[in-house]
Amino acid sequence: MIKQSILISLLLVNQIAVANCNVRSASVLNGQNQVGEVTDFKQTIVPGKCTVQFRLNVNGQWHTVEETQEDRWTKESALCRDAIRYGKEKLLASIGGKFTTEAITVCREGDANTERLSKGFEPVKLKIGDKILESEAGKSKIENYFTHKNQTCRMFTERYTFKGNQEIYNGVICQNDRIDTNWTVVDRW
Amino acid sequence: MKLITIAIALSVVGCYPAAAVAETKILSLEELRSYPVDCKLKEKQVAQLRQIQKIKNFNSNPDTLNEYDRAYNSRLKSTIWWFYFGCKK
Repeated sequence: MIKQSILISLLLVNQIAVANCNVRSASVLNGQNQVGEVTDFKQTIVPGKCTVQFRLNVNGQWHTVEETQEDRWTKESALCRDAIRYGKEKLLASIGGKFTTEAITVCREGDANTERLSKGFEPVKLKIGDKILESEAGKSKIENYFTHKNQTCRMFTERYTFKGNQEIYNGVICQNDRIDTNWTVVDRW
Repeated sequence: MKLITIAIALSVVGCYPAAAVAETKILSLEELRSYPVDCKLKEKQVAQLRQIQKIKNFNSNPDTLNEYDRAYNSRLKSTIWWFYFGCKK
């Protein structure tokens, strides 16, 4: 019973940590495009660097995306996740759409000396129904895969820092089919 | 006779959802926090929690919810999903 409560507690969202952040403004892209699935995904990892390459269907047209993220202090899995997101965002920015100016935040978290510089865009938050690569959804403390409606699924956790608060979201992604690289966000909270 | 049949049909159709709603106890956040999850009762408990979810009808975007609703929605969803990753077949 206690174990079950702890597991459930790990999934809760209302954990807000205050960080030392500066707010800057930047232009971000509003989601006006129909973004489809990723295909032909390749990633190359060397210590402190991840390069991803994939094709993405936007508004019915295929585009090739290549993006590299480097940071010797960041895990390669996180670099790859960022590379996919920024690659998508850059593509969408190049295609065009409605832009708005929003605040972005540059933070120095707690006692850590590593300044997490913003890379120009506030991360695009996941939403239910999004088709993503598995690596785009952050790891959850609940790491095991499970089956739901005959699909392989796992929990994910997203963290965003905005206006000095760290927002944490949890959710579930499921693999579209057994050999597919695309996953769908089936729930989020 | 026709009128009576229609009246009965309307009352059945009209009253059933209300009866189902009335039977579902809306748990408080505290009750939800100490919800006695039991894999042996998975189907029944998931159905109960899904019914609460249906009645509450929270927006799927957590950013639109107030603090209490967000906490409630989080606990509700994480409890439902617990049955899928926490119960072995």
